[in-house]
Amino acid sequence: MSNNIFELSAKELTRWLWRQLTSMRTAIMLLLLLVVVSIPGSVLPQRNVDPAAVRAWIEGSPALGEWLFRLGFFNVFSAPWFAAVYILLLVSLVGCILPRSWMHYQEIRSEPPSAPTSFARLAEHQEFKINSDFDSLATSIKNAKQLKSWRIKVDPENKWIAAEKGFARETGNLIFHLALVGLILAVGIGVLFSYRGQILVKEGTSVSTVPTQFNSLTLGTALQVNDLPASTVKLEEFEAKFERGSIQTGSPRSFKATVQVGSADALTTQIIEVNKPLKLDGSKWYLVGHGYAPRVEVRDRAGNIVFTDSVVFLPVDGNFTSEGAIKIPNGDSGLGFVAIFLPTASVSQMSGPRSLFPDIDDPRLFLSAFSGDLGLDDGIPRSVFSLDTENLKPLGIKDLAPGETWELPDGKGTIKFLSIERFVTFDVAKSPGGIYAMIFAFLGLLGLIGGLYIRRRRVWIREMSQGDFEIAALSRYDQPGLDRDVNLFLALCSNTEKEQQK
Amino acid sequence: MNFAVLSNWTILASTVFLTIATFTAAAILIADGPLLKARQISRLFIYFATGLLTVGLVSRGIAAGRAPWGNMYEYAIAGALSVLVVYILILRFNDLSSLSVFALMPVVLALGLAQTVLYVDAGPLVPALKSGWLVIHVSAAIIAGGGFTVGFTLTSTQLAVGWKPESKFAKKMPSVEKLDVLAYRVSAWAFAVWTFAVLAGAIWAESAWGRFWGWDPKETWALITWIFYAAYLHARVTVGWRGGKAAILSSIGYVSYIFNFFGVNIFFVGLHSYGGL
Repeated sequence: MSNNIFELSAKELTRWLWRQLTSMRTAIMLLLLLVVVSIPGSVLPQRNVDPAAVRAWIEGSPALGEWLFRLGFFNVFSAPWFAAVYILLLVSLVGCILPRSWMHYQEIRSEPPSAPTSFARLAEHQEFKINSDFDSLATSIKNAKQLKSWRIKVDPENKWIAAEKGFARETGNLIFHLALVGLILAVGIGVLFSYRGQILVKEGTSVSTVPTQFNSLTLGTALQVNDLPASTVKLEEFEAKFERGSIQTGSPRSFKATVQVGSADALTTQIIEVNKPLKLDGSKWYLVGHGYAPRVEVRDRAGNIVFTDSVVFLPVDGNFTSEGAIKIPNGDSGLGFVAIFLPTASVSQMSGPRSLFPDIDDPRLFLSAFSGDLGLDDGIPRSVFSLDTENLKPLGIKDLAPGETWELPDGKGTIKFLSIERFVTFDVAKSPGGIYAMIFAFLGLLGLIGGLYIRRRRVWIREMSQGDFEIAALSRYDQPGLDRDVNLFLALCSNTEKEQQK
Repeated sequence: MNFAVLSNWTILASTVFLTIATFTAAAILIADGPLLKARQISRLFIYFATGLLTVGLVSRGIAAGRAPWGNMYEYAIAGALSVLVVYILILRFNDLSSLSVFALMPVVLALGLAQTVLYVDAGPLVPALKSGWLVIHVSAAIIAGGGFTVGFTLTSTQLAVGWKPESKFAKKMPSVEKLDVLAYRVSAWAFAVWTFAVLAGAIWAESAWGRFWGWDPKETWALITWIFYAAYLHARVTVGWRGGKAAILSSIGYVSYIFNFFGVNIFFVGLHSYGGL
């Protein structure tokens, strides 16, 4: 075969490429490449984690942002170039491991190799004299209890004994790599059948796992919307505790959601906490967020109630300064409020209204009122948490404590801040295949330990002349401890001598 | 007894003793001659400081009423202790006293940073960390970190000695081959512990967030660290990569481990952002 790859036939070229791909050198390069392609995924915001941050990034530098978006940099771990690297790595791994497994199988079945011609060149080498003939030494070594786990071969003609131990090292090594492939496959197949959605529920209300009630829902490729189990959860109460001491004031201390699940005739009360999800109909419900939903009542100038409900506000900082919008559409004479809710209020010249503590100590609702056409009927989807005030007429601003009422200017009616409720967001998720992934992970770890710590070594003993012997030992990976093996064999030899003298 | 105060004072005292031990080790290195007495004293200081640091960490745990590795300060203290313990264990079987100054420097640095920049008073945990997995996952990461750090000390010495083998410095150090083998043994051990830490983290992630792996920045950088050390283990048995090149791979792996601790907590927003800063 020629050494120039341009002169190879198609078959030879394929073999050459395959050998290159499955070589250790390529594996190292692919590992490093995997690092290179992972880094953008941790540096840039990712669509599946924080779509709002991605939008903000692109708005910040549109020209670069748009190209990065097209090239998949905001969705790195689903990008084709990322997949290309890890698939190549997997192919390289399998291409290396399968032939090695076959070789290892054959090696296990073959006999220990013949003694080398020169013992002196090996790392451990000694000459010794014992008062015994070769055959009885061979017999006693073959039958020695201490050498049960060694594979021993005797050549009575050339007067040498070969012993070998530590095949489990390569076995462990291979198991580790195969388990790694199994782990990746288990997770990968599991993703096809997994789903994950976020759902929001206010105290005293219920939610069901129907698509319209999810804020976001990601389904595995192998699933349809109607594969979701139908469950209903009612949030009875949500309790949040925050640090009130001087150390880490305001840090969260405990979150506890009390929910009712099941059908009307068999309701059960369950508790969901962080790190303690609720198992329901094959899914798990994780407590991932919470916030405040102020309840307000709006009346028109005649005193008729036109709106009464609790409105979900999104927390914008750790002390639960929360933003929201209240919308009462009514053609051209609609009412809209841009609002900030503070559980513990303070107003500073510099930063405006801000909360000082996450719990309800001094609640205030800051309102900016607008009138006009809210534009909710034109079919364009809009966020429920903000209000587009461009075409609206400002009516004024006001802050309310619970129970207080604001008489709107121009006789537009009144708004009353009734009370404060809480809401909770749950992640509803199922990620099957976990048990297989765990089994592979456990096997892999065992294999790794075996592959790192089991010593693979060979020991040879040869009779040079009557009563004169030499011993040598070799370790496959220059591991320590060969001297112990040599000493073990020497001890057995001198035992043999003593036995014979008796 | 006020355990929080006891913890702070013992950790400070430990830092003082380690600083003295570091200077002693540096002096021994610079001076010529065996200086057996000085070596012995330096070693005694290391043992004593390690004892003090253990007391400091345990009393911090008692003061907070939980495992003492719930924020960056505690992680740095526990990490420093882990480095010391790994180093002492290696010292028992190998004469590495000429390396002491390099092994102690990162420890003193970590303790100094912890007490000045990272310090927070002992307090309870945020709900996200209240789990039995905190003990398993984080302690495994800390133990692996001890191994990685000592491995890095050995590896960088190996690179320095290999770079100028005829220098005065190189002649005082163990041989490149010995450093390479020792670095490999401790790094491979730390790699296995790290593998366990990542897997335990995946199990915790499933029970806390509903997925085993979500490419959170901390997870991504834990994998990057893992990949570098995996590449190092492969490089050590590959012709053309043995020695210096492999050593560089494990050094970069260590940098990514450190970045995962400092950088990811400070620069990135993610599910692991509760460094307490």
